[in-house]
Amino acid sequence: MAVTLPIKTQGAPLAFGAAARSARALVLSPSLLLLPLAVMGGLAGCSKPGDTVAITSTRLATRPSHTPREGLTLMERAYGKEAVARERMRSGGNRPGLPPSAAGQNPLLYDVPEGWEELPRAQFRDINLRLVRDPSAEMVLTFLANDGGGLVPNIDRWRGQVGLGPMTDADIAALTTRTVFGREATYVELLGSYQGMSGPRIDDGGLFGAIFSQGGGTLFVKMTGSREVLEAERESFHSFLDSLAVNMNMGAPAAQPAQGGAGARTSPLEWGAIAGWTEEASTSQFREVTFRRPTAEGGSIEMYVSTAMGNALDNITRWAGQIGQPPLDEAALAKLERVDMLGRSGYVYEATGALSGMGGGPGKPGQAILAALVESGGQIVTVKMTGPAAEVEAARSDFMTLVGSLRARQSPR
Amino acid sequence: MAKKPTTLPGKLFAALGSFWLAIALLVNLFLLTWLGTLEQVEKGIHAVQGEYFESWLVLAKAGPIKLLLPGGYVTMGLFVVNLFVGGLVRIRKTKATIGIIIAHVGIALMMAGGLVEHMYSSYGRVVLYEGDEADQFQEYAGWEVAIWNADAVGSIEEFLIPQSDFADLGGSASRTFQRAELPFDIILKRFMVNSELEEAVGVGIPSNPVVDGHFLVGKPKDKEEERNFAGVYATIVAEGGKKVEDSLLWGIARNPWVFEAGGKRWAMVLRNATHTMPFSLKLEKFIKDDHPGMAMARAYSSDVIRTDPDGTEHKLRIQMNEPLRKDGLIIYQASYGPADGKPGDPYTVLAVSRNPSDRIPWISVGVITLGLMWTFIARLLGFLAKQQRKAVGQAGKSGEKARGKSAA
Repeated sequence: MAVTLPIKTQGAPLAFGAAARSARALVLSPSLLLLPLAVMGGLAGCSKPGDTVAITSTRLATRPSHTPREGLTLMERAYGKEAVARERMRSGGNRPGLPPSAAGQNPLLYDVPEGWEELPRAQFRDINLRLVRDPSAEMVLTFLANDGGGLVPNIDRWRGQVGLGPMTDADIAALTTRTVFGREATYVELLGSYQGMSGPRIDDGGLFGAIFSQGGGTLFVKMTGSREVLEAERESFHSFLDSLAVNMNMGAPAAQPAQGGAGARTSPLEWGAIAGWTEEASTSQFREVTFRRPTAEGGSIEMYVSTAMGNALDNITRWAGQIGQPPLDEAALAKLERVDMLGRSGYVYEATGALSGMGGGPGKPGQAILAALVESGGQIVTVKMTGPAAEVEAARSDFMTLVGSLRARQSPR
Repeated sequence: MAKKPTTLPGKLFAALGSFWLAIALLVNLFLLTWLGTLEQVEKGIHAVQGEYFESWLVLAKAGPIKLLLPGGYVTMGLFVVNLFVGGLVRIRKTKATIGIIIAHVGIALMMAGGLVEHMYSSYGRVVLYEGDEADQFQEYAGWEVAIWNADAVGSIEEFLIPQSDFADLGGSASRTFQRAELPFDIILKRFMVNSELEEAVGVGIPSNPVVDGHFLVGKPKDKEEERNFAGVYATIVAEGGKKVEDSLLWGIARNPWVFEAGGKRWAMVLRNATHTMPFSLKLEKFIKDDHPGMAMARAYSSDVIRTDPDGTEHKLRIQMNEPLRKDGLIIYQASYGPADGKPGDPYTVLAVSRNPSDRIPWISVGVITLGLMWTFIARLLGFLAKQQRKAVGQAGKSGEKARGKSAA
């Protein structure tokens, strides 16, 4: 059915053409009214697909949106291989949710940048890379079990290699950082006439380097070469730094005889995260993990888990000496508070006084020791916290939480 | 004025084109905008946009009261009808209404542009570190499963399953997806619009299948669309119905799931809907100008190299209020990377808009302006002419009076 609408124009005839004149006799079908409704229906018209659906959409891409990589665990696929490795190191390989990595043979995990080749390790070269197109360019990682003389002297040494003088206070304040192993590392780019410990002088060269300290150990990573190479390979160096991670299946890089120190290693223990505390993977031979928390005074309080040979009485007596308390005998030991620790009955020792360090000397007053210890087969496992007495007391429940969370590692790696 | 209709279709037609319907729709549009803006605080912009404007009806929250209002589809649909019937068909077509008709045409054009934008536009972002190059952008919301040959070199053909094809697969429901070029079928199930990956240890009975010691846990949808990370379980079934492998796909995953089927390696990923740009952008340098003595940006911009399909390169700067317009895409400077971004700080975030009707608002505003100017000028000229006639008339009357006096 068609409806002729009674459209009537008034006044002067329109001056703009036939289209307007034809509107006088506009004939509208009712279906025209349905047009907007059809449009609206189209907007909402999405029926439920069937049980089997053909894939009809395709897209041509010049590069994949996500890079396919072989042999990744689900977590590595989700978060990135490097991020998972960094997280393992940050948490001492113990963060819930992170699966064990595949077995490997290198103490460090890293990616050799494209265009670089790997040379055998040597003294002070725990990772030793060389640029294929320019063999005078090197990328070297060195791990020392100590601070290697300190951050500023080492950067000054690097500056000296490119003909620059020691840093001023302003230079030190302006030092930049990069993330290495999930933590801040000091990062420098030094250009000049480079002369390393060996090899020829590179007149227009330099050194890019990063220094990372933790748990008493220090990692030095540097790239040396001509200015042109350094500029061109900056991204490679950064990607190398980003890829660095500890292989939790091996001992630490510092376990090399050349350095003779102790570094990060796989702990025989596992523990839980403690809310409000920063967990530090330890590179010390004796410490399994350290937890640290800032104090209101601007300092920090720490508690750590350690393992050693020995017995309870000797160690608790040693602690008593550190805090200026009389030594314990068997009877005093038997009266100590007990705590469930690693499935056994452990001792809790708590004292306040003037605390002196391992090397003796005058003690710092107003300090406290809170420690738990358990013996097992000639070894002891201790959890110890020291700091201002009030802070230690306030952190007692966190301390006990850490003690209660200790477990023997189920599958030693 | 048009003759009063007597038939039912005529009355309906007149009602659809009435001035009062236009007023009612404007009031409803005001309420939708006002109440939607208030509710956006709680629900987020994407949710409210869908609930208030991409809907037929909406139960709008006005304080403690809930109002059932026509949604955006109904309101705008009726507006189109009202405009067409009342503003173009039933309107008196005289010299005096030419400007009004032109203005109505401009409004209709603007509405048409809005419809085109609603149906065919896409918005997303591209993140570039210095030195990075990209020729694709990802939407902020909306997911797709992409499958491609992991060993393909050069141009890669991706097979895409849009979210609309698996969004309803909650609980135990599953759906099989097929493509002739793929030597396997894909079964998708347990879609979650927001999810988290959890380790299947110490959690009792996992709520979803465990893959590699982990499983996906559904989470409530976040009001900020960008914070939702969808998840879905996928099973690969080879020809003959033999299961090859199954896994879970998580929207935030850095790397795709790689599996073998039909003698080839395939990659599959759940990602925000991704679009190819007809050119590539490489970030040469990101520039940030801070306020003096502060780390707050005063201005920031991206120096990029645009490489066209023929290989020609163009050095450009994209900065606030100066987007790059090319081949239907508009690329704005949107944000930039934090200090801990990597690899190779800093990075820039460019917002990408593909809107075929991008210029329609400009054109329609021009048409509306023309119509209104026509109307106002015609009225002004009419008024002036009337005044002139009045002045002439009065002068004539004065002359007659004067002549009358002198005659007397």
